[in-house]
Amino acid sequence: MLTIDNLGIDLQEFSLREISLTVEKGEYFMLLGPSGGGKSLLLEILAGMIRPDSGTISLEGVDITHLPINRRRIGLVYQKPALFPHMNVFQNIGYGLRGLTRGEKSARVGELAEKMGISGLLQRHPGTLSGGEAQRVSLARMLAVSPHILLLDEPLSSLDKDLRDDLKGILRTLHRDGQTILHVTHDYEEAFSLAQRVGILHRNDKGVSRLVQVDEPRSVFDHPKTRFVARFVGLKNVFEGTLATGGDTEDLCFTSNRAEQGSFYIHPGNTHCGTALVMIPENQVRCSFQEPSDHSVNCLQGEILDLAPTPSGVEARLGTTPELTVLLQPDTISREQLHVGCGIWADFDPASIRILSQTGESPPSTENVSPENRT
Amino acid sequence: MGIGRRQGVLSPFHLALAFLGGVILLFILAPLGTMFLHTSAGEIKSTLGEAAVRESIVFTIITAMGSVLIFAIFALPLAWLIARRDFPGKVLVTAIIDLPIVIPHSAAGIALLTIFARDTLLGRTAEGLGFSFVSHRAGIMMAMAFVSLPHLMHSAILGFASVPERLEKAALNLGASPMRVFFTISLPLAWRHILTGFIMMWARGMSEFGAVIFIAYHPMVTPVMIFERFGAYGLKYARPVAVVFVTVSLVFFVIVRVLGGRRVTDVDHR
Repeated sequence: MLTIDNLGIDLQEFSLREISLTVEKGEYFMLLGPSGGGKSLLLEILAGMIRPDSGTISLEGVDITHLPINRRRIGLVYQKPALFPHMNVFQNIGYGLRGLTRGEKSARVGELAEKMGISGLLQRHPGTLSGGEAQRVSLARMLAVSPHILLLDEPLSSLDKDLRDDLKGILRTLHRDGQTILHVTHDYEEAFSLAQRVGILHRNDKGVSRLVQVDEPRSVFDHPKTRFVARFVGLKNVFEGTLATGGDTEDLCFTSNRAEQGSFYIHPGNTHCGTALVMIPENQVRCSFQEPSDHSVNCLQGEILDLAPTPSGVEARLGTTPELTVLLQPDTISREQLHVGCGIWADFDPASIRILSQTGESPPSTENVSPENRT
Repeated sequence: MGIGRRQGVLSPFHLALAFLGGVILLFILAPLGTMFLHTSAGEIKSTLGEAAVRESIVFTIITAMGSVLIFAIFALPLAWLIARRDFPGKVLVTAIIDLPIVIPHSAAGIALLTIFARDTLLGRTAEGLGFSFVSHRAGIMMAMAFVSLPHLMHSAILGFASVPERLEKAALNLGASPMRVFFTISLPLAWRHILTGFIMMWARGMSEFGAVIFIAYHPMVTPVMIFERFGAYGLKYARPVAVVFVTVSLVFFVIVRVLGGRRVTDVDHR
């Protein structure tokens, strides 16, 4: 079990603050954040390559904060495999194996190579390997020393899609075999396919990175805590603001924290007044060329700012207040003769709006909030 | 040639560059070539027949090699530290390393004599241990090393700096001790540069005259022998010794370069 307690470091460009996290034995934990958010820095601190300014790190109950790199038993696998160019694959994998007879070493390297599907490459030199092969050698080399925890620094991001899928399979196998893994990435889809829990690292505009949410991937997707997290996991039309009673309608009036994002109505349902993070699902927005006769309380006028084709339709960015992204079908575009710059009406039902998370007056949230989930 | 092939045509500017560069090559090769041409095969044969000459050349080569190997033990760790670590006074340390380059070699000889002469503390200590720096191989090694160490240091620092730090960290991360990382990662990967440094230091040490002559006229290193022959008998007698010495040195350098270079290219796939 890896426990990080209140870890912090201040560098010139940015800082990591108040990082507290526990990775259970045998868990596959993924740390997510945009590039430049300090994810790799955190891994290097854990591996002992950089000294933190504050906080402690313990592994299997032992404080390792000040232990030298070579005595931590934390294995770091880089995005670009750091294979030793003057050794062949066999020698690379066997580098960390000490105190074994030649036969034992050979058997262990063979077994790891088999597991990684690189048995045929043992006599090759790193310079002749493809990216995917090199990454497997790097993993095998790390596993040879049986680290208590494996740190993976974006191991999939420099690979083609099919190689990426192969390596994902290997990582899942390692996890099934009981390997504790802390994997950092900027790709939320990777988290969905591999991780048991994820942590989202957010770097604010002052350059300070903090963990803003730790949860299961599905929970983060369904209940992002902040607008940043919501957008990071790919949600569109997410607004942070305040819900208040809406005068003569039974709907609540949602006023965005940012003046330029205006306000709209939300059906009370099981929500209540207070601050909230809400989302207007992009497939729930009805678009038309003219003002719809049967429109709801939320009918906005604007113009089309951009049209971007995607596999599931055409994504239109609308210059309404608030600005919306909607998914249109190609036939809608041709039927309504929609184009960039043309005026448009966007209408969405107050009942279709999703409350992602909420604080404020009662009723209390039913979510199970563990200490590291608090932001 | 290279310019022409890469860019198609040689402009007058490139021709001018080639001409100026040619003058430099001529400046280096002409005196050496003339020296070889002015020396007959008979002269060389009789020079090679002299035991004193043969012994001096072997003595010079081995002594210079010894000074390289002994001082490398101290120079390589320092080079690694300079390449890898920041420490107070690093600028000063690198300046000290360059010092032997900027001072006259005769002054270096005087300085070495001042500290290693028989009546000094170090000199007396050495006498107590049964040897002397003055007029002894040990002193000659010192003089050779003093003037030639910067060549090894520069190459080795460059070599260690060129090893990607992440490879050293990866090795530590695999549980290797810092010492094992130095010997299995840093040193082999910096080998090409270090070998160049060895050869440069060796060559510089072998050819040293100014500093050596103050420490030891005997045993006679070949540069001193060439000077002695010139003083006693003139150019005609000094020249064949010079030719033989230069030839033997060149052959050695080529052999070391080819052997060392091949080993490195075999393993270096960066």
